[in-house]
Parts: sequence; C-alpha cells; structure tokens
Amino acid sequence: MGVMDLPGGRRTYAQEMEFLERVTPTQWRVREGFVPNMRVPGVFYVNKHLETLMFDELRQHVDRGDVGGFLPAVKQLANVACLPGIVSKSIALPDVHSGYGFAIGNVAAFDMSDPNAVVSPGGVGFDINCGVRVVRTNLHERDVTDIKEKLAQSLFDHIPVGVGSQGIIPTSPAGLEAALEMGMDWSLREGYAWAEDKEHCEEYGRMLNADPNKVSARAKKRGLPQMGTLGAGNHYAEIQVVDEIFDKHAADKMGIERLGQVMVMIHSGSRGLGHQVATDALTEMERAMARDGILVNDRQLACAKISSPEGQNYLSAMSCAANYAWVNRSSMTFLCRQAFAKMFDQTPDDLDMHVVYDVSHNIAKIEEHVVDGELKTLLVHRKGSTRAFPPHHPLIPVDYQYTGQPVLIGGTMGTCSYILTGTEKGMEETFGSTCHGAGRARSRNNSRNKLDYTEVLEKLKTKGIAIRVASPKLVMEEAPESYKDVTEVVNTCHDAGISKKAVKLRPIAVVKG
Amino acid sequence: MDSPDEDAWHRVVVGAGVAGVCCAEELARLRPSDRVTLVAADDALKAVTNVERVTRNLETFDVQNRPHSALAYPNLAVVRGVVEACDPGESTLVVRPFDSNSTAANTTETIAYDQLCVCVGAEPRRALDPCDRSADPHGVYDEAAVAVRDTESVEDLRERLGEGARTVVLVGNGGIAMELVQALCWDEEPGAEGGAEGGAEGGADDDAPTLVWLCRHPAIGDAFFDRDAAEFLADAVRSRTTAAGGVPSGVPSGVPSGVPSGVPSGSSSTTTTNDDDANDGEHKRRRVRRGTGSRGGAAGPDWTRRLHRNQSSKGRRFRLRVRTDASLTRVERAGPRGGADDSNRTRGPYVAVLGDGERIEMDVLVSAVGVDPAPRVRWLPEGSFPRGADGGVAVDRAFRTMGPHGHDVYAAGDCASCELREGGRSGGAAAVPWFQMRLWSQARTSGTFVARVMCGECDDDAWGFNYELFVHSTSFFGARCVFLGLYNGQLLDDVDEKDVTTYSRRGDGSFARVLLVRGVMRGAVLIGDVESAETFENLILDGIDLSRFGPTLLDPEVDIDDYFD
Repeated sequence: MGVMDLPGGRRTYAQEMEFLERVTPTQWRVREGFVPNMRVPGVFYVNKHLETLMFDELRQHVDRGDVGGFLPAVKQLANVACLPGIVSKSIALPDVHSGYGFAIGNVAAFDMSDPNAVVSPGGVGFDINCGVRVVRTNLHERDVTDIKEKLAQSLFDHIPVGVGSQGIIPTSPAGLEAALEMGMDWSLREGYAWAEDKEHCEEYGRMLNADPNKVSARAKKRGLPQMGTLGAGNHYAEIQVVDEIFDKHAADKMGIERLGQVMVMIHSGSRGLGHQVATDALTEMERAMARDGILVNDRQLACAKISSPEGQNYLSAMSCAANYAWVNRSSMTFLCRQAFAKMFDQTPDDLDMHVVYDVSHNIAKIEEHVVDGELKTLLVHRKGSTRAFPPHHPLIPVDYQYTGQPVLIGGTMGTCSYILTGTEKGMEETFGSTCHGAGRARSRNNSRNKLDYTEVLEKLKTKGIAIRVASPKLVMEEAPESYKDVTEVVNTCHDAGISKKAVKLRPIAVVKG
Repeated sequence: MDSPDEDAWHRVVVGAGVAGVCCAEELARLRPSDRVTLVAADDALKAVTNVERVTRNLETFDVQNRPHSALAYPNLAVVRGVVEACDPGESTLVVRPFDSNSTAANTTETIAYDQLCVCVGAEPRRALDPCDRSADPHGVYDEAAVAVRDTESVEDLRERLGEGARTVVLVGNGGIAMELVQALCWDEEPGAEGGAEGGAEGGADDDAPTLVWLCRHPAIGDAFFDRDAAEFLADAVRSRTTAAGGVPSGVPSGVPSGVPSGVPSGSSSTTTTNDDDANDGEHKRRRVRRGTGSRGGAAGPDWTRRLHRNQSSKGRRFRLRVRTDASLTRVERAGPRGGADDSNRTRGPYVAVLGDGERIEMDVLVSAVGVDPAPRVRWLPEGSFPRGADGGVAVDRAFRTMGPHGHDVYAAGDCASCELREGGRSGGAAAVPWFQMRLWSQARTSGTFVARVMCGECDDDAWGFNYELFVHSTSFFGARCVFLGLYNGQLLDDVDEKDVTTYSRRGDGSFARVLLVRGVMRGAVLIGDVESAETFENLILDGIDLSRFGPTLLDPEVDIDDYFD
C-alpha cells in the first residue's frame, strides 16, 4: 500500500538493497530472502567504483521490470545460492557480470557427500576450460620492437584453419579421441609439448576422468576441424612485455627477471566442442530434473545430482572438453615457439620459452576444502573465475610452493594483463579462487546503436515470407557504464586479500583468432 | 616419393579453379605415394592465400593466380589441355593438350584414371537469351558484352575499360555485380578520398565515366541481402561517397540517381602509369585465349584488384547510377553519332534497351547474372552422370556422382549440384542450415572435402562439418559482411510464419539481424561490426532456446559473446 510499492508485489530498488549489506570495504553480503529459496548467503567483492556498477545494474532491472532474459549478476548469484548441496556461500568476484544461468565471475562449491548436491553446466560455461597461458622468453622489448608486427603475423601463420587446412597439427577422428582422453599427454606424445609444460599446468594438463564415449558425435564433429585453433571473439594471443613487478620474489620464481621482458599470452578454450558438450548436457539435465524433482529459480540453471548418470556423463564429457582446450593451448604454444625460433634463429630452449603457468577459468573440479573447521570434498564450479591456491598447497607445482599458484589475468584484448598469486585468505574465503579478467569484453563502443521492441510484420524481400521484425527505435541511453576495468578488478582482489599482485604485463602486439 | 611405384593410384582432377587446385593439393598431401594429375585449361592456377578466420567455420581468403610450378608436391603433375570426352566404363579421359603457346594440338591423348574428380566450374550466363534474335537485332551482343566470372573475362573487361569506356552498363545483382560496383565507384583508400574532397567541390566531375547498374530486384545485392540490409548498405554507400555527391539514393525505391561520385584519386592521376601492368605485378600472367570458350577458373575474390589498378591509372571513379526493378530487353548498335570522342573507339557504341523503354547508350555491357554449370560438363555422358535441376553434375552428400560411377567419379565446386545436401535429410523447421551457393568459399571447402572422401579419410559424417551451416563472408563498400545459416529464411517455406521472428539492429556503421524459428536461432546477417559472428554461429549450431531474450539478443549493452562464453 506504500507509494513506493511497485505493481505485482515487486520490490523497489530500496527494498532490494535492504538485503545487501557491506561486510568490509571490499566485500558485501547478500542475505537470504533476496530471491526465494536461498540455502546459503551470497558474497561479492567490489570496490567503490565497481559497486556502483553492480547496483546500477540492479536498479535498471528493478526499473525495467523483467524485460528481456538478462538477470543482473547479483540476482544470478543469489539464484545459485538456492541450488541443492551448495556449501557455505555463493561467491561473486569483482569482474562478475551476467552470464548463462550462473554469472560470469561466480564460484559455487557443492558437497560431494550430500547425495542431493548438483553439478550445473551453467556453472562452468559454454567454452569449457577457457583459460590463459603465459610463456616467457629471455628477450627484451628492444629486441622485438622493430619486428613485432612481423612476429605477430608469423605466430599464427600455420594455424590449422578447418577442413582443408594443411596445418602442422594434422588431426584425424582417432587423434581427436586420443586428445580428448589424454589432454596434454597427447600433445607430449605427438611432440607438440615439452614435458615441463605439464608441470606448470593445472591438473598437469589432463583431467583423468575424461571419457570420450560420453562426448556426443556432434560435439566431436564440431571439434575436429578446430583442433589447435585459437577461436574468435574474445580469444587472442598477445606478445606482451613486463611493465611492473610488484612481488620480486614471486616474479623471480616465474623466471620474470626484469622490466621489458617479452612474454606471450594465449587466451583460448574448447570452442565448438565445449559449446556442444554444454548444450548436450543442458538438454539431458532438463529431463533429469523433472524426474528427480529438482526445482531451480531460473531455467538456465539446469543441473543434475552429481551422482546421477546425467551428472557423471557431464563431468566426463566436460573433462574431455577441458583436455581438448589444453591440447589447443599446447598446439598454439608450439606454434609460438616455432615462430620465435625462426624469427630469432635460436631454439625455443635458448630463448627460454617455458610455460610460466596455464590456468582454467571455466571449469568444475573436485577439491578438498576446510568448511567450518571440517575437511570436505567439494565440487567447485568456477565460471569466469581462476583457481588461486596458496603457498604450500599440495596441488601446485614445486616451483611455486613458496609463492602460491600463479594466477593469469588477461585484460580485454589490447589492455594490460596481470600475474597474481594465490593466498591463504583466498583459500579460506573463496575456495581458493579469484577473478579472471576484465568485467566485460566490450566497453560502450556500440552505445549509439539503437534497438526497438515494437514488432511489426515485414516481408523478407527475397523469400516473400512474412516475418516478425523488430526494427530501430528505443534507445538504451540510460544504460550505465558497465565496463569493469581489469586494473580495478585486480586491485579489489588484492585489497580483499584473495590474491596478490605479482607482475603487470603490457601488450605490444595482438593476434586475433 | 619421387617416383611413385607401379601400383600407385592415379587420381585425376579436371579443372584448375579454386575447387580443383584445393582438391589436387589435398590429394597429393594425403597420399604422397600416389599420383595426382591436374588437367588445367589455363596456364595459371588458383591458389588460396591469406586465409583469415572469422569464426570457426567461416574464413575469408584471397585467391591468387600462380604458375603451375608453384604446386609444391612432387607427386602432383599438371597437364595443360581441355577434356573432350570421358569413358567411365574404361575409366579414361580424352584430353586435347595445349602446347606452350596455348594452341590446341591436333591430336588428343588418353589418360587413364583410378579416381576422377570433376571441378570444371560453371559458365557465366548471358544477360540476354541467346535464342531470342529480336533481343539482339544487330548481332552485337557478343561484341558488346563482357561476362565477368573468370580470370579471362576480368582481363577482357580491364582492357575494354582501358579503351576509354564512357558508359558501362552492368546487369546483375549478385556478389560479382556488387564487387564490380565497389571496384569502379568506390575508392578503397578512405584517406585518399578525404584528401580529394576539397578538389571535388565546385561541381561534378563531368568527365567521369558512368556505371549504370541494372538490378532486376527492388533492392541492391539481392543475392545476399533482404530489403533492410540492402537499405543499410545503400546508406553506407551514400555516406562514404557523400563528399563527391553521393551514390544510389534510388535504393530501394528504384529512383535513378545519377549524381557523380567520382573524384580524382590523388597521386596516381599525376603519375604516368603504364596501362599494361601485366609486367609489374606479382600476379604476372599471360593471356591465353581470347573471346572463345571461357574455360578458365573463376575469377576469385581478388579479381577487382586487377581492375582497380587500371582504374587508378585513369585517375577517376565511375559515377554510379542505380536502376532497380529494371530489366535488359535488347541490345542494339548505336546509330551514327558525331563527335571526336568516337575516333578512338574500335567497337560500339551500343544501346541497352530496358523493359520500361529507356535507352542507354553504352560502350560496354557487363553481364554478371550468375552461372550455368551445364556447358562445362557436356563431355560427361548424362546417362552415367545424372544432372541436378540446375544442370550441374548431381552429387551425394560426399560429392560422389549419383550414377553407377559414384565409387570412382566425383564432382566438386561450381559444376556440382548439391541438392541432396541442401537442408539435410529433413526439411522445414529442422532443416540443416546449409544450402549451395556458387561461392569461392564453398568451392574451397568442397574441393578439400572431396579429396578427403576420395582417399577414404572421411565420409558424409566425419569432417563434413562445413556442411552443417552455411557461412559466407565478403565485403561491400568497405563493410565486412557475414552471412550465417538460413539468414534470409532459406529452406523455411513450410514453416508457419508466426513461428519465425527476426530482430535487427542498425547502428553506427553496423547492421545485425538474427532469424529465429520458435526461439531457436537459425540464421544471422552481420554488416560492419562482425565481432559476434562466432557466438551466433555457436548459437545456431547449439540450437538452444533463446526466446526469453527477445530482441535483447542484439542489445548493444549486452555482451552476448561473453554471456555464452
């Protein structure tokens, strides 16, 4: 009856905000009741600037009503907190933004010992095991300044380009099966990777529960022509130089010794194969949900009990897609090494082209964490989030035992990137996770585009069939500036203590897929 | 593998266009100990270079002519000649070889094959019915017209424009026509264009030659664009050339516009350039045969470059006049006409007569009205090799010919007719979003795919992924254009129109439209900003229900690429 009430029992922005409370300067909590059926609270990490973006998005949503299918990230975060078996809290990192089902930048862990706990493909993302790899060199910026365009060009001259390519990484259906099962062990066997590359890769570049039989024929068909390819859209490879060193000890351990040192960053994933694996699982799980009586707030949160056949099938297929992504990044590493070797007439070994580290930021993994003083086995979903294990953790390589796991943060293509390290605090607060990159790949460069929601009947000229067309009118000019700068994101994680800045990198040449 | 042994297979590829060369090279690569022979009518081959990926299935590339010696496979031999007959029972071809001067020999040779792949391309259609005498009362069509399709005809056109053509009439509304318009009327260097603005002020360049573009349809670029997209493009064309007076305001209304768009193109107008650039380029090629049969390979995506160099040397753009909803009904020889400007003409002028009675005096008629595969495959006996509805050699989903010789005779590229593949096994709403269009991109994938089939490396399913989705990438007036799936509602005739929805976005220099059937994306057109091509490609292939998003799918504030990452 209050004048502030919106029709249909919807809450006002002020009413929504009553469910949010600041915990620390960089952390907010989302209380139960923000959306129905929350089992645990939500938590998000933001600084002053990023919180404005977060709240503007929510305000927009309230003002607009439920127009369109895009929920604000904070609502998505809360919807995930309703899933069966979720442990402790649903966590959003500073770069969080709206994604399919789960927000991108959301971490959620599910208790493996709870028979009702679920796995959800939306919590991993479509581009399974999308991730970042950094390869170092012993070159200095001045060594490449004059030839960087040429170098960038030559980097991917030999990338296989679909059917009909004469790529140097030839694949056959049998080769694909092996790669899906073996991940980087396949790359190593075929001679595209160095043994030590595996050491500096999460899971040693191979998910052991991968079962190619659980990957549909269509997914394989989509994956076959794309083996060893970079992908388009947000994927890229960059030649970068060290711009700033924040943590000399950690940088030393990574073989990063001086400013101006040349590095190569590769950002790619599992491409069409991952997309198909995710789509197959979503379809399968929707059926299983009806059978098992699982209810969710958002249809995009399709999920299945971890122990169910659908859950197990997905985890096996997801692992295959993860392996495929590692093979892709390894193939591209191989091509980089070749290009540099040719350009500088030295072996990749002489150029010290070692993999610093390789992270996955779209994946679900079984891990052990201490929850309320108790050691638990959890299925941790990280979507647009990077694992960031602290020093002395048994799952990180010997080289990084004293520094913590390197965390590679790709900026938006063309902006700067960071290398962070994992912390004990992150282990306690965020299941050993931190951010993955810039909040959005695109700033408002399209802001002058116009959209219209009125539908009119039009005719497609060439076909003569009638169709419903929405054509230009409504302008979204009130839309907030929603780009989340990588530096703000990384600083927030640093200030919150869930990861620690080590090195800043600046791009000097970009290669797009 | 310098000397393939006696039991080595002999695979013969006929035709050295994009499909043929891709096929021959893939065969040679896959089976290094077998022999491959490429029968080439032309002395230059098509090489696909500068492949640039737009999405995972979609790539843009240039096609270059290169000498036979550029084929780097020791087991691949090239025979210069024309195939005259095929005996599928005996597995032999009769070839009339050319000597080094490109003259046909008096004798023929017989070549035996174990497997044969026919990649002979297609013949450009005539803008007028050849049987209709009244359409060409003076018998000047062949003299006046250049059909742009293959390398030969591009050279011919270049030469004709170099002769000082004042008015060129272009018939056709497909990709080739659009490219020609772009090459003649638009300066590829925006910088140069800007710099010339001042100079163009004070009125039209009255000396600029004119290009009259006759489109049968109400809008330009009908082969690719529906009306919305065409309108967007027409606007883009107009704005790019506004400084010089603008181009086709008559789109799509059909109102003719004759405002000059041409401005002197800067530096080259003051520099003496050798008209005959046959010796200056890296694409050096010698003319082989003129006028008669056009057995050469299709011109390739870079063909306008050859025109362009010529254009610059003349120092001006053509001004463009667009006639939509127009048809060519007759070609005549122009009556006697005074004036000194006739003195340097060797042919013409001619008159194009349109359906509405308008008469346009012209020097050259350029015909770009599509292709006909039938004439190129006459030597294949129809009894053994059934034809598709369009006259091409009918092939199955793996490009095997449909008759009794499917096991050893294949056809790919423009000469093949892929009716079986179109839409896959089920039509309507469930149709696989692929259809045949005679494009460089399809020639390339089919050439390589058929080679893999011939070697037993793949079948209908494995590796056939290029046939799950129609993809094409091109550019028009500097705008990148990407077409995905059933972007214009192709194959959806049986679908209830209430189930089909499209959303479009028209922005600053970009246009996007998606087509959904019952909430599932089936096609997309992107012009200008094509960043989201891979995401849309994935969404079409995924087939997930997108109905909840409605038009926000195209909301520029939503990063759709990231959302589905």
